[in-house]
Amino acid sequence: MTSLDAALTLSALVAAAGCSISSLEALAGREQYAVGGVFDWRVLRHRSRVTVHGPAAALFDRAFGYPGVLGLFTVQAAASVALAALAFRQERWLPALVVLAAHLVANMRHRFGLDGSDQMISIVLVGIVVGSVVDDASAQNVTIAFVTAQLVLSYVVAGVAKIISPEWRSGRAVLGISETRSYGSERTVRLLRRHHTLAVAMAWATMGFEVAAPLLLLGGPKAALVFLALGACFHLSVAVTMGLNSFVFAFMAAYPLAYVAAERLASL
Amino acid sequence: MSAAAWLLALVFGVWLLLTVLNQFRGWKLMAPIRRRDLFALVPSWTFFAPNPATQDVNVVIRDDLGSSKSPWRELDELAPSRWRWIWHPAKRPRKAVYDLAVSVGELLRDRDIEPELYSYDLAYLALLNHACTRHGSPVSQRRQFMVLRSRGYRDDRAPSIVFISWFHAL
Repeated sequence: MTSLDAALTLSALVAAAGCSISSLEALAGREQYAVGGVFDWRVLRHRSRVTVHGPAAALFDRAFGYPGVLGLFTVQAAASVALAALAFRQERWLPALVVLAAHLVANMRHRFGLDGSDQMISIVLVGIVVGSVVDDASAQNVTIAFVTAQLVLSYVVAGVAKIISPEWRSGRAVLGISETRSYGSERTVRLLRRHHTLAVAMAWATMGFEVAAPLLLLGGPKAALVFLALGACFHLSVAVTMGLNSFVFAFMAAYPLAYVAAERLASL
Repeated sequence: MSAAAWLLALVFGVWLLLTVLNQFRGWKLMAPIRRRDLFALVPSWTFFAPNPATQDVNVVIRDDLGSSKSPWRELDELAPSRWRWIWHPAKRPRKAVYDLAVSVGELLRDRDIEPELYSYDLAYLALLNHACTRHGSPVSQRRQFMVLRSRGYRDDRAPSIVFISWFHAL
């Protein structure tokens, strides 16, 4: 098994876990897709003329209305299980393609309520599909370079956007986010109110980690491993404190491919 | 490089370029691409920055009972869960309500839109539809929703009103 094969296997396993959870979450919250739910298709179909008047409107209604839309999430869940089962084989591209297609269609169906993890998982799934299908080394390099570039860009943009904000530099942002009921918890708020320096330290640790992302590529494989280990801690702590579980899988699914990119860049 | 590699470089290069351009939210050049990005392929990576979400967005509803109005009540109660780090089914619907509420609040900034036309806005309709199917009193005749910003666990400050809808027949 080459390092790229191993990376594609690991990425596929992590992506499969994330996509299984998100599709099962959608099935668990299915009432939100039914009449009166926040994702009620009778309203959201009016976003586009194609879904209201076009020849395919009836098809959209059947596939995206309730309970038809549950089929989409069931297909995604089943394909995610198949992706995990075939992760060690080159044929992983097929379930990965089905998961990707279902995920993109689900993005279109949702319209609201999407976040960065939805976009990162699309990018990683594209990487898994293309990386598994093409057997040409230069095409594989282009694919892992793309996934890695998006990963590095995501961290750098997030870091720079925080550094230019006085709220973040002062640590008020960390305390403020923790004080919301959507992303915070009473325990975290109590802790951060008692120790304001902890909020400042958390803000600067986040900004420092994010803007250091280019080290993933420029520091060699060892620096890449350190960065990715820090990244894993970062996403897990964000999931625990803020409930952003999907980011763990979406971003960490890109890590094996990014490590191969760092390895290959160092060997040039 | 092979032909396949050149083709992939072209496709991924355009995707990456659009991603870079999309980080500048105020740039109107990207607006048509954002509108057409049905599959949410072009990301914005500025998570919680530069303006972090330090306030909750709440939607509350009340009914017109004929001779009186019911008290305001939460549209969707947030139930804290210790498992949300791995299992969080409420995350996407909650984020959707947030996106819809923010979008409705922005209607007020657009001076070209007459208030009478708010109820033609997709986000307004989606929130109204969600609000109107919540159970109310049997004598409820009409319903109204309000978007608030609150400080969550810091309840020493009163919530601020962002938007109040018209009353709509149930």
